Amino acid sequence: MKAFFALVHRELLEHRGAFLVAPLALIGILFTMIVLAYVSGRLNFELAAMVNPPALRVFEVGFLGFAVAWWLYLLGVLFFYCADGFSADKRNNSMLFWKSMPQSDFKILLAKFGAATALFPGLIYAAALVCGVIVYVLTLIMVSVGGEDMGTFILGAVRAYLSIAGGILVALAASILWFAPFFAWVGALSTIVGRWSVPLSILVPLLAAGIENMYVSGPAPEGGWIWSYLSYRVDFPINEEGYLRSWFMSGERFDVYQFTLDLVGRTDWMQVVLGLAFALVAIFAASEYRRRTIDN
Amino acid sequence: MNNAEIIISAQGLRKSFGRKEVLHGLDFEVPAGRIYGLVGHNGAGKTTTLNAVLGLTNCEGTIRVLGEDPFARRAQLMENVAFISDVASLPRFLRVRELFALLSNIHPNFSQEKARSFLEGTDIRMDAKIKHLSKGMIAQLHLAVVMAIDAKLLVLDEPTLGLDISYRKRFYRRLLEDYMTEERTLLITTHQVDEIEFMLSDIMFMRDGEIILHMQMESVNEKFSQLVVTDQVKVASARSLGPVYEETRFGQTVMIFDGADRGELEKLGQVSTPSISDLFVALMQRPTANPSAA
Repeated sequence: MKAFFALVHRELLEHRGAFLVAPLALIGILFTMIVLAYVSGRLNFELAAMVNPPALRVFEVGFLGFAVAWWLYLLGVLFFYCADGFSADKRNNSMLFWKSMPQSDFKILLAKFGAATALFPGLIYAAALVCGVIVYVLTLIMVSVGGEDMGTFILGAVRAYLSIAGGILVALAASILWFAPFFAWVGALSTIVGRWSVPLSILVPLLAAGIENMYVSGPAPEGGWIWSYLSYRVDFPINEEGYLRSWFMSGERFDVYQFTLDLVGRTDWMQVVLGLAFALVAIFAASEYRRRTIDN
Repeated sequence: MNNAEIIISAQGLRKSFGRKEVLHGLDFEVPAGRIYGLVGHNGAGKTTTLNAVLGLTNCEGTIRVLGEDPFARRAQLMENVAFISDVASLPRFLRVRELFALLSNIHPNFSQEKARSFLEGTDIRMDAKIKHLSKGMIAQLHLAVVMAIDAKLLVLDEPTLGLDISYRKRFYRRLLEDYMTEERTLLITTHQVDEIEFMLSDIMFMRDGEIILHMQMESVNEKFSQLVVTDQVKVASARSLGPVYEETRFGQTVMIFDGADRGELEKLGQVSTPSISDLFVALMQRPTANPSAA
């Protein structure tokens, strides 16, 4: 396991720009903007047409808003990481160096997948938590300006922070599990075709769906079985009818327990298991290809 | 020579790319503690042979390295085999210290202390990024990395390609002085054969996917002779002894003989042992040269 973790660490060293430097830079920019806004007296605490919204509500919505933004950032950057990182050894001219190490190609690719599904989401989670602290400080200023009860806010905000932090963790883990086969698919393609995996990872399934529609007849959902299945798998099961919507409309405090129950209930766990099995098969197939490739 | 002493054993090794066969059934053994030079033209099959030895490509026939099938068990084999295939193959995004720290966890036989000691006296700083090092410094660093691995077999495929002569000399001197022991075996290919001749114990010549010469350097000295004939009257007599190669240099006729009586040759001119590069040029032009000897 020591070697596996070292290989995962190697991924961080190679891709620290996207997963460490860029988030830190974005947080730095955000912090600077808030400080400048505060200094110049341009902070505006209006929220969804509410002139004097409750500070705790501002905190919860702000924290969750940043979490959603980081989640979208993570999914986008992971896509490009898988499209690039799985063929990076070939592109960096270092394939033969890593092949001179006593580690199998499967373990090396598994480490890349491990970085994509555990380490990098962990770093983005940390970035979201830091943003939560920034929002906390911001709302603290709001409370002091508005003359609300500071003690009540501090206690409530700490509870809300922990609750939302737990909710983000659950959502992040569930979404990574849900999208893992897609990332493995992109990574496996990248092992073979390099950065061409960016268009091909989308083009190949679309082509398969198109061929099905053209040549396969018989009863099928609109768009065909492949299109229907892909649409289902692209849609992460936090939808408008779930807990998040009812929480947003109700104005109640965010409840991590209810959120988790709702998400777990909505997730198709059979699909998660099948997806993880597909991911393992894709990575194994890619490693067998890599084992036979000596391009430097 | 018993089986335990054999580091590499190949029997009927064949490799094809598409319809083109590039290795035509190689048979050879490399015993422990030797320094082998594998020499051949571009496209002769040297790198393919090394790739087969290192488990980087699958071949027909049988090949065993330290008793293992290298293609099937490459990862395990690499605990005891080190190789440099290209001086530019170190991961450029890492700092030297990061590389050493990673290797300490990835390679069970890598010693960070040894690697650091090998870098003492060089201009390579531990916090330098590899991509900022010169080509010569990268070669020094790569050599430090492989020398810090306690391996039984070291394979070098054109390790000094593109380096200037001072770096090349330093590279080989360091290798000999700081790394080679009786327990270690070195297999090396290079086009600059004259630079490694002094360190070789055995030589293999490859041509068009076949081994055309495989023998110990002592046997080369005994078997091959170079004759320089200055008296043109004696050239015909020398030719009658059947040289394997002949050329004219600055008005002198230079011939290379295989198994000729040195006493006879000395009557005709100045006799010496041909350099590996002269022998290479000579033997590349004839059908075969003692393929069975080892």
